[in-house]
Parts: sequence; structure tokens; C-alpha cells
Amino acid sequence: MFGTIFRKNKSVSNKAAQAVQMQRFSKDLNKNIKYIQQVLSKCCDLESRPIRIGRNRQINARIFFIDGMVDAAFMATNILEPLMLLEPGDDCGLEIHEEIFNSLLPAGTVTIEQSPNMLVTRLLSGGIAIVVEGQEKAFAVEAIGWQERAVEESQTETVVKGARAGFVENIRVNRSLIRRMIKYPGLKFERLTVGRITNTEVNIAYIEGIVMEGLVEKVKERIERIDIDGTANFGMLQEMIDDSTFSVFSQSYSTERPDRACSCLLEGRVLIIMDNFPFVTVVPSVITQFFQSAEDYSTKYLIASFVRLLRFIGLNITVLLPGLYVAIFSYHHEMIPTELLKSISQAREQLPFPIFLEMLVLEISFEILREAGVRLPRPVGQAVSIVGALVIGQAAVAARLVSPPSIIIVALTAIASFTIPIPEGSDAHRLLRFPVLLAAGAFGLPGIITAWLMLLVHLSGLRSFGVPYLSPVSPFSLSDWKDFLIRVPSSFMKTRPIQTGKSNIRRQDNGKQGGK
Amino acid sequence: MVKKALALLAIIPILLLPSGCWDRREIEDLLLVGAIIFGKSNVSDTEQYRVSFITTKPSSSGGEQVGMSEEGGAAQAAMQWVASSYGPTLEEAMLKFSIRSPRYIYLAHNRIIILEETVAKEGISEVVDFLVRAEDTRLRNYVLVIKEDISDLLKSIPEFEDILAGELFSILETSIGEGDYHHPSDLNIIAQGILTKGQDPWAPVVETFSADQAAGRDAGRSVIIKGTALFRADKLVGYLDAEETQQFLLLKGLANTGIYYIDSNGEKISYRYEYARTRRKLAVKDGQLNVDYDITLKGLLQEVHFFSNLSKAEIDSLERALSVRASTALLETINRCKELGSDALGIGRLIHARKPEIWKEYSKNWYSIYPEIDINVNVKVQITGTALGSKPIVPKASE
Repeated sequence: MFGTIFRKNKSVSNKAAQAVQMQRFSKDLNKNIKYIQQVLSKCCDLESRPIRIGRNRQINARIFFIDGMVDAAFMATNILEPLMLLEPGDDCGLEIHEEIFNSLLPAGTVTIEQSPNMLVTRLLSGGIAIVVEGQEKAFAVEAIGWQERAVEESQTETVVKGARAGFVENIRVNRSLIRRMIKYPGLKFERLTVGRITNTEVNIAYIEGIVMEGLVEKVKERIERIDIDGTANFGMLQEMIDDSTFSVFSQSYSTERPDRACSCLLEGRVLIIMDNFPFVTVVPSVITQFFQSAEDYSTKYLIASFVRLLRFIGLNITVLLPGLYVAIFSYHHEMIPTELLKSISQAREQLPFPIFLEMLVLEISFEILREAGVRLPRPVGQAVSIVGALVIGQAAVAARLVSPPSIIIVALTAIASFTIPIPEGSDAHRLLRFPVLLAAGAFGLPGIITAWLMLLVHLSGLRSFGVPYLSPVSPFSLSDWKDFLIRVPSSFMKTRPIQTGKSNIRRQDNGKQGGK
Repeated sequence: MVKKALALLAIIPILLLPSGCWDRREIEDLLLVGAIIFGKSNVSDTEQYRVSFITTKPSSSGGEQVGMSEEGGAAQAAMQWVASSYGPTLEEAMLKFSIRSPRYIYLAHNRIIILEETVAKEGISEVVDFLVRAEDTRLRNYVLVIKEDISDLLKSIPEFEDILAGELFSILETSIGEGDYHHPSDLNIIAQGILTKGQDPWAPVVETFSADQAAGRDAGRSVIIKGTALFRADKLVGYLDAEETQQFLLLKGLANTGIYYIDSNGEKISYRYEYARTRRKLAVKDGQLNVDYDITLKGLLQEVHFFSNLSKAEIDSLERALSVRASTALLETINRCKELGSDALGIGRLIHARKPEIWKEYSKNWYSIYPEIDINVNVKVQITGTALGSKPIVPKASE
């Protein structure tokens, strides 16, 4: 079924390719104009303007641009004005196009294109095309002037103390945000293009001399291998470059924060930046990233370590607590303190459903509420949360459908799942609690242990761009635990993670730190 | 790959559905037994075991607050469910509850085992064997002996906890630090006592009393734990009263705190030890086996009925008087144990450990040798303070 869909897409793109016949510009201006108009036919946003340039205004030229994508003021002052008002100097003996390039186009980014198709691409990414009579080449002036979101605070990774800026949709702004933090010539951005139709720009960023050996080539190769008509979402590409597509864990993770992206660069990782996508993807991703938040580095190490441990507990609660509750209260009553057993059995007196079913229904209804809360417009979201709190929290208990302890467990699990700082980790673990719950409902504690072991086996086999996902736990490396479940003071963080930073391991010299 | 995944997806539910959940019991279906009482009684001219349960009966509480209202006392009383059943064997008596109770009998949360005198006198090994065999009982269950008929016990009302078993448990657990009136003995100690030669079991005694007098109204009966029951092998032979129990605990090395009082110049002085150390020694003198108890007590004067700043000399003489008082009491208790023929003090075990060659000979007829063993007691009482921060409060008239 998928095959037929792909085949169809391919044929569509082939047809578009057939329309392209002209490989180079011809000397005939009208032919050139006609060709561009033919390629961009039925595009009502294509604007063109004939002008005359040259010493006696005897040379015909044509300006093309896409309405709304260029800066009109910039076009007027930097292109139309000089071309139409100024005259090329006398007796310079140069061809007219060199003349124009040298003195008549006061703009930063001007390229000379010989292929009409490249010119169209430039045009479609916010350029102004100038086609001049008698020339086998054309000018493309970059004059991007579309509307875009300003750099604002990250929504997904908020911090109390720390940088506020978050990535935006524009890849150049994102590049600049990173470049502003790392003023080092070794910081490289390599350009790739993904999508036969969308021609989306994808950049790979890394720091030369620090980046993990062979990683850049591997990332490039995997991105170049992608053969897709187009995507507006990097999540899709993320799945295509992951080592194990079927794993619930994402082997790369995206961040909205430039500071986090930069610290990843310094650890020898590679960033993948996609145009029109306000998240930057970091590879390789390992388990430590479930616990690290940008905030950890702006608070004291003791507080950060405490919070890290809380996140670890939160992660375990997310996966295990509903299962443990079901297992212990349906199979292992002898484990419960007598008074607790009494109070819970009292709360469950005459309830209609077994604990397992109760938990399953409650967990699913929490997920429904969460999903509804995320998708609904903000004003309606408020209403959903009120209804949810009343329906699950109050009415269900009062109607004796569920017991209050189960509500507490579900609430605790839900809250704990949000302590994991990256959405990829939070989502994976929230999903995992359902298999654990099923195993607990069927087999009790042995079921939970089996599920947990299967998870461990899966995690130990997982790799992200060749880096073991469980590192630094397995393969064990003590020096990487300095930034895992605890965060040691920054003066002790002298080395990069062993897996990704091998090529340049030291971050600090052994010099004195602080007031010592 | 996809085929495999699909196959797994199909197999897992098939595996889970027929296999799952056979041991599952919802907690509200459990009969949470808090105390089991074992006794014997004549039913239609045959002696049968009587097993009684004191259990928690969960009141349906719902999500809203329940039982916090004016009827608090009544609601608590209603949470206890008491029942007895009879059977020629223990297991049969136990299973008979299922014809009355719609719940699974669950013993893992049982905390108290009460032995009636009827069964204790005839031998408790059957009961202990049954309990140790049962899969869900715990060896840490406290064992108590009851002298009287259990009808009063079953009728009595817990004064602090929700059910009687909880009340007994709390008394045993928390109040041992408050005075040496009793010390819990658990199933493990009893079982070891039955098995070990030269160490007999012992257990505290539970009694009921009428709380009416103090309450000044019809308050029903309540429970107290008072005294110790001594066994000889698995048979109950007699009881120690409250005072003897204090000495018994000192001799066992289980004492926490207790009181001795003496008369001095016609006034009573009470001394409370907060520290007790017991050491036992075995000495063979001229072919005669001697057991020496060295007991050191440290404590404060709690109550002095004459008003004086105690001088060093006075304190010394008090210490001497108290030592004499204590060793007399301790010797009396030792003699009482010998009289009853119960080696709950573990003298035989001591000989076995220290002088195995002598024990080899003694063990053959230990119970006839045991009363003849010489046991001496050395008590060293230390008064560490007068429990006064300043001078005593002296009434004007007595100056």
C-alpha cells in the first residue's frame, strides 16, 4: 500500500522535472522571461517589472520577485534606484553584467546564476531575480522580507534562571543564535537540502576538533540518503535517521534553547538544524539527557544534583508506580503495612471494578485529558482541565466508581512524568507505564520485574549514531557520572563525555579555580 | 520484521488472557484477621478445638468523610468482627469460617495469637506446628495466654484502637519502654522454646477487667496485659504476677525500666531504673554448679517522701538498701520458677553453652536437676541522681 503511494509521488515530481528543458540562459531576453513565467505559471504571487538600464537606457531588463517574500523598501533603494538612475562609468571596457555587479547593485548577497532553475530556486527563497538582455546569466539578489516570529522565550523548556532566547523558524536566525554563543572559527555549518519538492535547507553544525570522529560523515550520509518529496517537520526526518526506528525511545532529541544546543556542541555532538522548524536536533542522544535541564547549570550544584535525583525518582514513578500499585494491592497484600491495607481496603469497599481495571481506566482518561488540554485552544483548555478535575477527581469518587487512593496514584504519576525535562523522554516513559501496568495486572511483581528487564535489555541494545544509549551506565564510565544523576561543581567538569568527546577530551586545564 | 512484530502482538494477549490473574485477590475481599484465639471445649461430648477470630470489618466508607461524626465510638466498635468456630482439628475449625464469612481468610496481617488456658495446659505444640505450617502466618506474631474464659475478651471493647487486636498489639509494642510489666513474646520465641532443651517458652498474660468503676458508667470490659505465663516444654505450668514479671524480665535481660521502692524511716522512697545490665556466670565450685547473676541498675530517685537534700552517705545507704530489696525479689522469682518447674530463664541453655560436658549428663533428666541448681544474684544499684534540678520543695510547716 505504501509502495503505491510513493510511486505516485515520484511520477508527480517527474512530470515537474520534464517541464524543465532550458539548462542555460539564452541571449534572448524574451526567451528567458518566457521560460521563467512558464515554470512559475499559475503562480499569482509572481511579480515582474520591465526596466531599461545602461548608458542610454537602451538595454532591456526584467526584475522578478515573489510578492510578500521580499523587502519592498530594500528593493526600491538598493536595486531599482541604482539600476534605473545611475549610469555605468565611461570607457571601463567591461561587459554590462560585470558593470552591474561591480557598481550598480549595492546589496550584500548577490549571486550570478547561469541555470534558470537555480534562479527560480533563489526566487522562491526570497530573492530578486534580474534578467538582462543579451546576457547568458542572471542576477539573484537576496532581499528576504517576509513576516516571521521574533526570537522569544522557549515554550517547551522554560527555566527560572537562564537565557530566555529560543530558536525560531528562520534557519539564519537560528544559526546566528548559535554563532553568537560560539565565536570560534571551528564552528561549522554545512548546508544540505532535503525534499525533492520542498527544497528544505538543512544545516549540520559542529565544532571542528571537538566533534566525535566520523560523526559528521555519518550524519551527512544519513540525511543525504533521505529521499522524500518534502516535510515541514523534522520529527519525520528524525525517525528516518534514527538507528532503531521501532524503539519507543527517540535516539536524537530536539531542543528549543540555543544555550543547550551550544553545550551539546561543546560535548562533541552534532546539531541538525532545519529551516522552518524552531527546534534543533542533537545527535547522538544518550540516557543522561533524560535528566539534564538547562537550569541545572545556572543553579548551585547541590540544588541541581537534588533536582536530578528528583527527576530520576520521577522517571521511576512514571514507569513503575501504577504497576506497583496494582501488583501489590492485587497480589502481594502481605507487603503492605497493616494500617495502610486497612484504610485502602476501606476506601475500596463495594467498588465495582478490580484495581487493575480502575487504574487502566484512570490512566487512559488522564491521557485523554492531557491530549485534549494540549490540542485545544488555550481558553477552552481551561474548561477542559476544570471538567477533568471535577469529573475524575470529585464526581467519580463520590459516585463510588473509583477509589481515592487510585486517583492519588494517577495524579502522582502524571505529575512525576512532567519532571523529565525533554518531551521525548517524558512521552516515552508515559507510554511505557501501560505495558508495565498490564504485566503487573497479569503477573504481579514478577510481571513488573520481567517488563523492567525487557526494557533494560532493549535499552542496552539501543544505539544512537553508534553511541550506546545507556552510556555512561553501560558501558560504565565513572567520569561521565559527574553530569548524570548528580551534577558536580563546574570546576570538576574537566572532561567531555567519553563517548562523544574522545577526540578532544579536556575541557579545563588543571589550573586553579575560584579564590583558591 | 513487521511479520514478527505482528505475531508478537498477537501472541502476547493470547498468553496473557488465559494465564493471567489466578492469584489475584482484591483487597476488599480479604478478611483481615487481627488476632486468633485457640482454645479447647467440649462440644457434644467430644473435645474440639475452638478457633476465634478478631478481625477488621471494613465499614463502607466511600469517598466522603466517614466515621468522624458524633457516633465515633459506635462506628469504631462496628469495625470489629468477632467469631468462633469449632472443629476436631485446627484446620477444620479454621476453614469452617468460610461458611459464614464471604471473604478470604487472610492471616498475613495477623499480629496476635492468644492461647486459652485449656489448650495451653494440654500442650501447645499442635497449635504452634499448625501456625508455623500455615503459609501466611508470620513468626513475629505476638503470643499471649488468657487465663479466663474468652467470652469476656470477645466482648471487651478496644479503648484506643479500632479493633482489640490492634489494641493488644499497641500495648505490647509501645508500653514496654514505660515499665517492666510485660514483654512481648512472639511465635518464634515460643517455637524455639518448645524445641530447645534447657529453654522453656513463656508468654505475657492478657486479662479483662471492668472499666466501669473508673469510668463511673457502663463502660464494658477492657483488656490489660499483666503477668507472665510459664511453660514447661509445651505445657503451661503456672503464672508470674506483675511484680514477679519485673524480676523475670531483669533476669532475662529484657528489662527497660521499672521501679523498686523501699521503706526508709517509715517513709516510702521509689527508685526507677532506666538502665539494666544482666550478666550470667557459670561457676563450678567443689563439683557444685553455681549460676551467678550480676545485675547492674542505674536510675533516679523518683519519689522521696521526706524532704531533704540527700547527702552522699544517705545515697550510699539507699543504694545498699535497694540492692538488698532487689536481690530478695529476684531470688523469690527464681524460686518461683523452680517451684513451677519451668526453665523459662534458660538455665539449661546456659549450661549447654558454657559447659557442654556437664550438660550432656544433666540433659537426660534436666527437669529434676533444675530445681537443685544454685542460683545467686548480685545486684548493684546505682542512683545517678535525685531527679531534681534544684533544691527540693519543702512545705513551710515541716521546717
